[in-house]
Amino acid sequence: MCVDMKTRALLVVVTGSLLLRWVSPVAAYPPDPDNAALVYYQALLLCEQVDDEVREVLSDFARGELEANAEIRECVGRFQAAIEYATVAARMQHCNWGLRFSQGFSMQLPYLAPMRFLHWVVLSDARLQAADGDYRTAFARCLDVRRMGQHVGDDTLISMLVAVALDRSANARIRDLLADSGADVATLQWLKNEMADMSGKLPSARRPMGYEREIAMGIMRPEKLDLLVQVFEGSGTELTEEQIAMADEDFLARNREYYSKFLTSLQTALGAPGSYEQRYQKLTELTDQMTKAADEAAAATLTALFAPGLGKIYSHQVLAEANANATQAAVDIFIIRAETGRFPQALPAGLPKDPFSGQDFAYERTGKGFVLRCPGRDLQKDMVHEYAFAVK
Amino acid sequence: MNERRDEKWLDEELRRAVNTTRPEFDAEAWKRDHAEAYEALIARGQTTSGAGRGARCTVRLMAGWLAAAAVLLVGVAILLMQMPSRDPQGPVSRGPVKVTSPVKVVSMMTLRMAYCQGGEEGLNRQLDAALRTLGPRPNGLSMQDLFNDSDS
Repeated sequence: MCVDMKTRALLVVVTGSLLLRWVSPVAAYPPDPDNAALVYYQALLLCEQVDDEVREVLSDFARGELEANAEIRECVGRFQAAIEYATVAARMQHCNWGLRFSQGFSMQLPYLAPMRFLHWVVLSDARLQAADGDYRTAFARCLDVRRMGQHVGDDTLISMLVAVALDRSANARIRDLLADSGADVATLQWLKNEMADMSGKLPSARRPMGYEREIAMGIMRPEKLDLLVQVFEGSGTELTEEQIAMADEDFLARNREYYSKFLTSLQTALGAPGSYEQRYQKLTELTDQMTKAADEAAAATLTALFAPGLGKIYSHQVLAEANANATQAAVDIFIIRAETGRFPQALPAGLPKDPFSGQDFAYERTGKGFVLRCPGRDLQKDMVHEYAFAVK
Repeated sequence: MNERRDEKWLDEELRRAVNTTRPEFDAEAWKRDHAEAYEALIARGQTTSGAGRGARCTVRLMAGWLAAAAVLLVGVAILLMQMPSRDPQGPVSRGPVKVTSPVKVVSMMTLRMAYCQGGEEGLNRQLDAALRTLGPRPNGLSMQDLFNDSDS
């Protein structure tokens, strides 16, 4: 009897669950995609085609070079569906753009240009939100653009460069919004926590270099000679007839070997412990050696054509990190101001550091705000970066 | 007496002769009345034209040298512009990379070349060109449409 009761109860529970699952709206349709790229592609399809002038107006407005007006509100309003899809995608964990690596250097990267445009649209919306006093949504939009940058990712060196540019742009807008000084302590604390979660997630050049090595070596083969020639067609660095004529099995094998060794040495230099300055100098030294070798030895010919100027790419990466760290440090300083009514006399301890030097940012009070200065020099641009905050 | 002063003097003479602010010149009458002055003018004109020929020759010679120098400069400039950059670290500022097919406008190699040739700005130019060629969607919105819509 007792067993019967238990069996009946179990049957009721199982039947009930099945019924619930059947009638539940959640079970009635498939789940939303878990690949952010699919949602970004929809966001891009929802973007209206605009002319150069509209694009320019939006990017200028996002950068703070234009004031909000009815036309800009109308324009951004037309992109609301795209913005909504983009922000949903930005908060998803996984992003796979479906790149066809098998196509090698002919692989298409069609999402980069529209994603770059979409980031201006989302940042324009951020400025409009701030103009309406909703700083939390404004900051959230900027953070979403940083996430978009992370999603644009590091599949290739080019996508990594676009990703870094998006991140830099979003951080610059966050710093503009901070200087507007309309945000309260709770909003700033929330921003601080969100930024802490995102720290250290900037795309790096190491992974794409590995992919590019495989792609380049795949076409340095006699049976792919046509493709090799085609890759450089119209690029301004075409293979000469002399180079094509000497590209036999032996020439290509020696070039593959040289290229592989060169890329390995670059990757080792990038991953080695040490300061920015040491890494940069090592990368520059390796590139100079390779360039010299290309003038003297046939084995380095293709490496000179394929190899990226990694010292420059590495500096872009470090600059993006400096931007992010300076923004994060500034949030802490603005929290102190929101709590006490004034900026601190000295830089608080424990803030993110300048990656060019590995030291704290130099902090200087100014009439209306403060400046954070990198103690280290950007060796690529031969300059010291600084971030000025003047409260409006 | 230089040519400018000659003209002034001649104008004065003409004004006096016809007693009006809009001189109407009777050349034959003037030649008859001022035979000496006319002869002097003719003689000076011949001397001047001989010297002018010499000056024109010098000017032509100088112009020839200048033209040759200009052609040489343009040639050197074209050669320099066409030479590929040997320094992979140093970008050369150019327009978007010229591609044979719109499909190539966003290929990995085209974008890489745009970056190698023009740095970050070069890459951005290429991406802008891609956006113009491929764009997000064909339902165009122009600035004019935007203003028209917001006016209504």
